Formats: sequence, structure tokens, C-alpha cells
Amino acid sequence: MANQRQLLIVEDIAALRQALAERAAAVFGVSEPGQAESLAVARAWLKTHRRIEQPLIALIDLGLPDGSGSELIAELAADSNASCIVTTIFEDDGTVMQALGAGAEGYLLKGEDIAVIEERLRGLERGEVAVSPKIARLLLARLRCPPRLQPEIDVALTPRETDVLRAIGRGLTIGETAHALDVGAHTVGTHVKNIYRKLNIASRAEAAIEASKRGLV
Amino acid sequence: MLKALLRQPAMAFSALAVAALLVHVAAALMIAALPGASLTARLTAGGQVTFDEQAGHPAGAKAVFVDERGRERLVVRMADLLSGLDVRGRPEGPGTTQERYRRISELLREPGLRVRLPDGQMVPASATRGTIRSLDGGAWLALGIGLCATLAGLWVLVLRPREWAARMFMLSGLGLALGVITIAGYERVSLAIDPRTLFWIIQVNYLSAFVFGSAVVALFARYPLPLVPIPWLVLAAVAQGVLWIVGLLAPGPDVFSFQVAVVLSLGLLSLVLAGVQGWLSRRDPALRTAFILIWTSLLLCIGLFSIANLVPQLTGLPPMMSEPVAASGFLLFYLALAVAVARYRLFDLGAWSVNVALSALVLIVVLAGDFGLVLLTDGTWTVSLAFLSAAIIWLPLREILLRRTDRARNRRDILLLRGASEVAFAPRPEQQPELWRRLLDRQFSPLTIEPAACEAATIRADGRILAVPSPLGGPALALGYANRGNRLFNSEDKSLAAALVALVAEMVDARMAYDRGVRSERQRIARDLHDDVGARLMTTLHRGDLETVHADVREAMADMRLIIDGMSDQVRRLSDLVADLRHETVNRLMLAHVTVDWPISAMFDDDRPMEAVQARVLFSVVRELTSNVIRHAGARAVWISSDLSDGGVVLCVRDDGRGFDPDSAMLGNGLRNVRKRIEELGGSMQSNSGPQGSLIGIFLPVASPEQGMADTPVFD
Repeated sequence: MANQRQLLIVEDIAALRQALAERAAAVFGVSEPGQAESLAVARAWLKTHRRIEQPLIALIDLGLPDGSGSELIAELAADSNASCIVTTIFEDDGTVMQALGAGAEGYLLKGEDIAVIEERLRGLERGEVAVSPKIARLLLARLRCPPRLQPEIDVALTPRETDVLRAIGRGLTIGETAHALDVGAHTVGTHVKNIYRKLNIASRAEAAIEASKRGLV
Repeated sequence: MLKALLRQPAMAFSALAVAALLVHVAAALMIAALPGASLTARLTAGGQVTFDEQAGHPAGAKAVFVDERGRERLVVRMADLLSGLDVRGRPEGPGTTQERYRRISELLREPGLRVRLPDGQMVPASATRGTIRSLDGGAWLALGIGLCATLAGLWVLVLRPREWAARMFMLSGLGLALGVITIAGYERVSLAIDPRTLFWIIQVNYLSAFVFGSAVVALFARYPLPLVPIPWLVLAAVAQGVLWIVGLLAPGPDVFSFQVAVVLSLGLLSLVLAGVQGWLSRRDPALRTAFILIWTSLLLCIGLFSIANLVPQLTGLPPMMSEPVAASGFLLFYLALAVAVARYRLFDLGAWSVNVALSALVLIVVLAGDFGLVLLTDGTWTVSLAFLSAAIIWLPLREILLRRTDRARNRRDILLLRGASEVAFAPRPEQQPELWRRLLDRQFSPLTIEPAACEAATIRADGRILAVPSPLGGPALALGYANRGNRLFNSEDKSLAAALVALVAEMVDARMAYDRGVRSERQRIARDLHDDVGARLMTTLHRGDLETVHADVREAMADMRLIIDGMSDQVRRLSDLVADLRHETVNRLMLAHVTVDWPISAMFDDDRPMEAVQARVLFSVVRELTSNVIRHAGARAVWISSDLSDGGVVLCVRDDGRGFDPDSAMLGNGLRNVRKRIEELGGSMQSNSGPQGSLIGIFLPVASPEQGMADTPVFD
């Protein structure tokens, strides 16, 4: 089964984990989603259940009892067949940026109505992305002129990407942004995903530079 | 009127000083009026007597006074022509020295008188009129010393008119003045002066010595501690008066020697008494400072006097200065005594004594070097070489000392700052008085710390006490006896204390302002939690419908988010705020399948900073209105506009729902709450509702962009 996928929900609040697991399993057509209440359990599940040939969707909470979900996201970055989605109560408290930098492909606001969450999951499945004005502004500030990065790593934003971030930063929705830029909503989503990827590359490059500076590499 | 004026110390002193000046001018005139003689004999080496640098004559050879008619009037020995001879005893009686001098002075007044010297040479001899111009430097110096001594005595007396020490000091000043004036007169002695005048000059000089000596003895007998009863002192003074009168009536070398012995023993006695006083008062820092001062200056002037006069006599070198010049050194001691008795800024003189001692040390090094070099070399270059050697020793030493004090001061400043911040930033305000006390204790090491009253840092009880006001608003503190009683408080301590008070007060102010800020922030957070989250959760408690409960909880979470946002340090700009608001609102309405039209306006580019409370009110009101639209209006479309006008944000929300009754409970607590807050911030809210929908307008004043922050906005 080529399109058979795996699903992992990492969330320490049991009720929410259960609800997320049910809705996500339904949306992504997965029969037995993995559920983990901590990093340790999640790692154990990955060790025993992960099948590398199958795409993995991981919904990862950041504040876990034994550490930050970004650690898991960073670990899963080695798994090219895995996409991580951050689940968070608040989208703009810095942790989302951190998770995006660690390699998350998007985020989900778990404080929303479960029906809305299901709608968002379907959106993800369609290729839509979540991005708020605040995150757009942070991205713009962070990626427009990456000062500390080596020149060969191309993480500068394209003009189009900058336009997208500006529009979203002004409070426009994806749809409104697409309309304002006279492109399709899907194109805007692709731009945002690329920007997220660039943030991830930038973060890795920064980490590498930092490591070489300290003589770790 | 005059009495009242004279009661003011400055006026009284001025009047008395003028009087003293007049007395001294009169004395100068009297001394100047003493006649001089045209011939002055001088005793040269080998016991010869010479006139005007001519050949000498044996002291025993005869000289004859011859008048204009060639008659021999008086035959004397050459030695008798020496002026300034010691004239003891009463100037009466035939055949006495006095009688001879009287005759010479009378003869000198006759015109055409000559003296026939032993070799037959005739020398004209006459008395010359004394003029004020004929007074030499020594006389003027003596008069100056007398005036200074009198002024010092008057100054002390005016400052402390009722004190024994001051009166005795004044008396000693008069004695000193009288003494130096008579010395000035004695310096003018010539053959033309009637020996009876000389007799009185000398007797007044002895009287002045008695007065000066007795006054100094009486001073140290009762200052600072009353050691000798006053009647004894009066008795001693009377005895000296009797002795003086005896000297007047019964002339003779024995009485004179006795007088000199009494004067000398008075001097010795005053030194002993001063020593005893110094020893007895060694535990009192103020008295000790006074005695260190007196003894420093005494030793200094004795040292100077010895170096100037005694050392040359011992080494056979010529004296470095004349007697009046050397005597002026005693003025130093006398002025130090004046300061001690008047207790005038005595606390500041502790450091002075040290400086004087150091300077004296340098001077002694220079002089010693000079004398050594005089003995070793032929006398040229000596002073320069002495200064050079002093420079080689002294200047590097001085450099080291300066650097040490500098370093100590730096360290002290740092400790001071640390102490002040400990007081100001004490964990609890009630610890501050104790920490302040400890800081003062550490800084000045006083023996006692007691509550006192004062407006500014002041030195009291002649430096024994430093009163320091509290920078904390509490009672002032009186610090007693600096450095565990080892020194007096001085002006530097005072300014240090004042600086410390100002520093701590400033820091306390800063801390209080900070505390106030923290407190108001906490109050704001508490109020927000209570009004928003609390009220919303309270409503939720009474709802049966799970879906509404969920909506309420989500709104409570959004409220919490806003409160947390307000706590961040980041400046919220109007542009960011309205973007976030639009994003949230449009998403909510879209999810509720309500179409939204919220055009981008100039406000989306306005970078002025927003206060947290304004941001929260804007969010609250838009959220509340959006919730109402979603829950109650049954609207299909919403039109929102946001604009800047009249120094504020104008927000309009229109929907096509079924409207609402402005007075109904349906409006909810939330909206009323929001209206209240808008009005608190100086804004207003208006609503209009009908079956075709409702329109709500809000005005909220915001700060102008000029008051905005300087840092660069995220968008350009």
C-alpha cells in the first residue's frame, strides 16, 4: 500500500490527545495512530513502529513533561519521509518559530474547537498552511537579511515571498493575500511552506556556524 | 543701640581691633620719639670699643665729654659709651652707672658737645630726634607681633566671652603685646636715652613677662580641665605683683635674678600643666585634637627657633635671623592656642597637624642637608643641593603617598556605592533603617549611634558628633566619636555623609518608582484576570450548553493571551495590533461562515506605539462584537472599518443580522464591561440597532506618533 501513512500524536493532555488522534486518524485515513504523552514514549514508538517507507505525519506538542517537542522535530528532520506539525495553544509565543526552525512544516492551534481543528487538518491535507500576521512579521524580520549566515547558503527571501509575508503581516488571510497578489491560494501556501523551509535551513546553518565557532565540528 | 551692635561678635571684634590698632600706633609713635645718639660705640673682638668703624680703643681707656667752651664735663671709660647695656637697679644715687648714663644723656642735649677719645681725637656728639622713619624692621615686626597677639586674644574673647580660658588667653595676649612693644623700645636704646626711661621700659617688660607667664599658667591650670582652684591662681598673681613692686623699690641684681627665675619657672610650669592637661584629656577626641595642635605648633616654633638661633650659636655660624624674626615663630604657637581655646573648627585641624608635621619634616630635612653641606663644602650651592636631595627623597615619597590615598579613595567609593545600594534595594523596606545604620557604622565607625533631629548633615559638639538626616524619611542619627573615638568628625566626613544621604535618597526614590510600576502592573494584571477571564469563566459556570461553554473557554484563553501579551517587553505598534485583530476576526467570522469586509486603511501602516491597556480594550471590544455577531445576530455579512481620526482610532462594525435591544441582557456583561473600559480611556462607544442589522462605533484616543518609540519598525 503505497499511500498508507503513519500518524503520531505527541500530547501530554490525555483528552486532547485522544480527540486529536481520532480526528486526525479520520482525516488522514490511518487506522492505528501512535499516541505518546512524552518524548520518551514518542521515541519508543518511533523505534518500534516507524516504517521508513511510509510517510509519517507527527502532531507534536511543544511543552512536554520531559522536554520540548522541538527536540523530537529536530530528530525527525533526519527522516525525509516525515512531516511534523506543531500543536500549540498560542501561535505567537516564540515556541512556534522555534519549532518551525527545527523543521516543523506547520502548526495547529489546539485551543480551537475540535471541529475547527479537523477543518485545519483537512486544510493541511490539501496543502494549506497556517500562518499568522505575527509569525509572518517575525519571519520577515528574521529572513530578509540573514546577517550571520555564510553567503553560500541561500536563505534570502524572494521578492514574491516577501510580498506574501508583508500581506499576511498586515492581517490578510491566505485567501485575501492570494487575491491581493493575484495568484492562487495554493501558490501562497507554497510560498509560506518554502519560507518555513528556509527558516529551518537558516536555523541549521546558524547552529552549524555556532558549533564551528565553538570548535564542536 | 550701640550696646546691641557691640553684642554682635563681628561688630565687637571690629571695634576692639580698631582700638588695638590705635594703641599699637601710639606705641610706635612713643618708641619712635625716643632720642637717638649721633655716636654709637660698638664692642669689637679683643675687648676694644670702636666708633663708626674707626680704630678701636681699650675698654678701660678714658673718654672725656667736652662742651662748646672747651670745659671738660665728664670723664668715662670707653666701655661706658656702649649703648644698650644692661641697666639694673634704680637709676638714683650718686656714682652709680645709672647716674653716669643720666649725665651722658643730659650732656648730649647740649649743643656743640664733643668727646675726646683716648688718642686725642675729638668726635662731635649730640642727641638726634627720633622720627617714625627711623624705626627699623625689627621694631615694626615686634609691633606687628604685638598687634597679632592682641587681635588673637580679642577674637577668642569675643567668641567665648564668659570662659576662663578665653579671658586668660586675652590676658596673655596683652602680656605678649606689651612684651614685644617694650622689646621694640629696648632695641632703640642709645646714649641719649634717660636711664629712668630705660628703667621703666625694662620693668614694664618684666611685668609683661609676669602677665604673659601667669596668664598661660592660669590658662593651662583650668583648660580644659579645672586642675587648680581660682583663689590659688589669684594668690600667685598677687605674689608676682608684689615681686614686681619689690623689684621697683629694692633694686639690685638679686631681685632681678629672682624675677628672671620666676619668669622662667612660669614658662616651665605652663609646659608641665599643658602636658598634664593633654594627658588627662587624651580620651576626648576634641581635646586631644586641640592638644595635638598646640603641641605641634609649639614644637614647630621651638624647632624653628632652635634651628634659627641655637644651632648657629652651637656651630659658630652667624644666626639666620634676628631675635624679633625668630620670636615671630611664637606667634604660630599663639595662634594655634587661640584656635584651640576658641574651639574654632578644631575638627578640621587634625589633618592640618599631620600636614604641618610633614612639612616640618621636609623643612628639617632641607635645613639639616643645608647645614651638613655648609660644614662639608665651602658654602656655595648648599641650598640648591639641599633642595635637590630633599626632592630626591621627598617627591617620590609624596607620589607613593598620593597614590595610596587615591587607591584607598577609589576602593572606598565602590564600598560606599555598594552600601548605598544595599540600603536602597533591601529585600524588604523594613530592613532599610537597620541597613542604613550599618552603612553609617561601617563608614565612620562611631562609638555611639543615637536618634537625633537635623535637616542636613551637621557637625556638633566641636566634631564629637556628626548628625546625619535619614534618607528613608525616618529620624536622623547622631553619630558620636568617629573611628571608635580616635578622631573628630571633619568637614570631609560631613560632605561624605551629605553625599551618602543624597545617594541613598535618590536610589530609594528610584526603587519606589520601580516598585510603584511593578505594583500598578500587578494590579492591572489582577484586574484583567478578574474582569475578563474570571467573569467569562463565571458566566460559563451557569451555561448548560456544552458548545457555548467551549466557546467561552476559548475566549477566556484568548483573554489570557492578551494579558500575557501585555506583560511582554515588546512595544506593540498600532499597525501590528490592527493586523492581528483583523486576522483573528476574519478567521473567526469565516469559520462561522460569515463574510467579512475589512479594508486595509492607513491605520495598517501606523507605527505609533500602543499601550497595553489600549491594545487590550481594542481586542476585547472587537472580540465581543464578533462573538455577538456569530452567536446572536444571525448575520451573513459583516463590514468593519478602522480609521484614524481626531487623535484616535475609529472602529465601525456593521452587520446585516437581526439587531439587538441595547438594554437587553442579551448584550451581555462583556459589552457593558468593554464600554466602561473605553470610557475610562477617554473614548466612546455608540450603537444603533434595527431589524436590518446593527452598527456599533467606537472611538479610542491614542498617543500621537511623535511620542512614539525610536526603534525601527518591522515594516518600512
